[in-house]
Amino acid sequence: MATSKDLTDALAALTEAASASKLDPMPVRGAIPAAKSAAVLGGAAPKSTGGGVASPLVEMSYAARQYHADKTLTSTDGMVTLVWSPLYQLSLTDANNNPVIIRLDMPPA
Amino acid sequence: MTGFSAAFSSSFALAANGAVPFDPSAAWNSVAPAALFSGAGQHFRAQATVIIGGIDISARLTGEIVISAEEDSARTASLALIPTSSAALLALDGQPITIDLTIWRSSLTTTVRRFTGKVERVEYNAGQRIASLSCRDAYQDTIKGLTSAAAAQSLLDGKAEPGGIVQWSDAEPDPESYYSRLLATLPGACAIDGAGTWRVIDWMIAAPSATFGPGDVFADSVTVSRPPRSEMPASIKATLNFRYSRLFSAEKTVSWTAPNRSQYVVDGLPVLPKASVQSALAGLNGWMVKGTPTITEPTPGSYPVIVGGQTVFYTVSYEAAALTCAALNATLYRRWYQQVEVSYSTSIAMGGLAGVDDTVVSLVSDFDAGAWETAKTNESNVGIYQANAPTSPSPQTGYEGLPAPFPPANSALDWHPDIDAAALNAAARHVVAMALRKAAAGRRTQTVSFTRPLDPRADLGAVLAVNAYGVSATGQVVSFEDRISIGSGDATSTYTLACPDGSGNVTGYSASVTPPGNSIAVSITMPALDTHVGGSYATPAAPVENDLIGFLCNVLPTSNNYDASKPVYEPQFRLIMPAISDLLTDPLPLSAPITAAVAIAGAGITVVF
Repeated sequence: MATSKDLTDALAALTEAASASKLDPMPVRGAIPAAKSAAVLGGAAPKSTGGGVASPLVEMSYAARQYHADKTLTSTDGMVTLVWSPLYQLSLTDANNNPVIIRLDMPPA
Repeated sequence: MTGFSAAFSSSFALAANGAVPFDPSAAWNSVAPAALFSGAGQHFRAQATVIIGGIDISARLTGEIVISAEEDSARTASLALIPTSSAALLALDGQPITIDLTIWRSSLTTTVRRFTGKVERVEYNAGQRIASLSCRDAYQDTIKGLTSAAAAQSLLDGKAEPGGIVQWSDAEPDPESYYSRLLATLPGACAIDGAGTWRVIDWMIAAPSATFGPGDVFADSVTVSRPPRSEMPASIKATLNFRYSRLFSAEKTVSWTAPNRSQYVVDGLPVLPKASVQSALAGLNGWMVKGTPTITEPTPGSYPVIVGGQTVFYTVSYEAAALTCAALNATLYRRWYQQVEVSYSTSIAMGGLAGVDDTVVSLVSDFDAGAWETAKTNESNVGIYQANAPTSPSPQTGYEGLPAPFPPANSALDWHPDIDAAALNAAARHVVAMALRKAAAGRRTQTVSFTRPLDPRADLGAVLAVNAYGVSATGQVVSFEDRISIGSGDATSTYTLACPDGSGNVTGYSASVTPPGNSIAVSITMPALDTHVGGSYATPAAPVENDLIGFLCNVLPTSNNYDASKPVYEPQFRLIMPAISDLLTDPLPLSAPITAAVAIAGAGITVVF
């Protein structure tokens, strides 16, 4: 018959086995490579990081257009008068799905 | 708590190792008259008084009573009785039981309580009408009843060393496992004595309470047992693996100065825009600008330049100067980590042949070095002021915007804020304590056993000596068995003494480690920034691309220095920061000693033929 001493020892052995600190191997990281960066003249973003507007630009919603206040054009003989709304803002989306906003100035009088 | 010492004090939990000394003589009943047990050729009477559930059933005893005890286990008793009725038989289960042994010799007498426990199991032989009882003390129940780490520590008199390794979980308490892991660090043993009191027994072997000669023991009962091979490895090694992060910082000053103005005139070189410099600095992967770079503008004005013997003027407008870089001075730095695992170890020579027993525990710092390494700065590398900056109340370090810590420049910092030197030393004590207990327990399997007429004076932990039949040894009682035959009148006690090969009287240890440190100097070498002119007769036919660092531009085709066959560069500001060797990034295993001293009490056994 197993004695309580046997059971105590067995429990201790199991506990020790369970708690034995077998750590996972440390992962190899490898050398950190050289870091290169270059910026063309004019201060553009570094070539290594990309960026900028990617063609094509697509207008997703005509209704998103915004306009300046109405202007009136009159023919030289004064017989015809035309009221029109100059375009103020055009909302486009580039190939990377980034928004591109184009804002236009008010035409001269 | 059943079986718990009335002398229990929660202050035990705060005691250092060995602060509550154990007295082996307390395990020896010195009240009983020695003359009662001495002298050959005498006779005595013995009686067992058995109380079950408050009822004295001594008169119903039959067969044999056996009481046995062993370190780190429950004391057991078995006996047989003739129940008076079926109701009395059925009432035996789980009842508290005490067994007192009384011995008389002429006018001398003594009574010793040898067992306190409960009836564990009853087997009834209907033919003989005899009930056989198996009884056990409260050892397991006491452990199972633990409800906190402090209670477990107190149960071991504060002499165990959890070392931060053994953790109690309130969410999922596992008292048996917790106690077992604590016990594995105790330089001693535990048991409940005959009176039902929990005892912590230090493994101490000093002067014996009694020495038994040839006239005191049965002739053929003296047995010497040597340690089994499995218990005696060549050595027991204690290893503490400590894993943490070594944090590095590399800094490199870079500087660039515009070429002489004559080159702008003669070769038509473009100027370097400040924005290009900023873009190149910001585009370095992993490298950051310490503080803000110093970008010096050219001074506006007209400067005479002699070209071909003629003086021409090179003009720098205010507008152009504000956008142009004439010189750059900046400190670039990056930081990274390396996983380090220090294996602290020590060995206890055992003198056996069965290889090395490895006791290993590990500590891992939970500092998130990955997040530290990849954290982006919250600061901009564009300064606010170009000149006459107001005095700052606290000088800037240049590392603002980054999480701490900040290793010294071009150096390394061993970082484990959650595991300080005290925690490390506690873990070292823990693993050495485990190794010591294994070693001591192994050596204590060298035993001497003997049987003599019933003598219940010694309990577990008592130090006795034998000097009989050529065997001479002093040891500590690790187990005993009392047998009283109701029918024949035989009454004997068998004691087993641990007689390890050791030195001194005390089994103990000390251990400490030196927290890790380093004296690493990071050396970063790279070519100096320069102006590299393409399309010129001076342009190398095959430039070393990794050396093309700084301002890359070209002479105009109209320049006298123009060479159509030479490489023409894409005009740019270019930076290359050197690689970091894998010696500073890959996991680093290190070894260091545990400064330890261990002692196992004992003087061995002498056998003379």
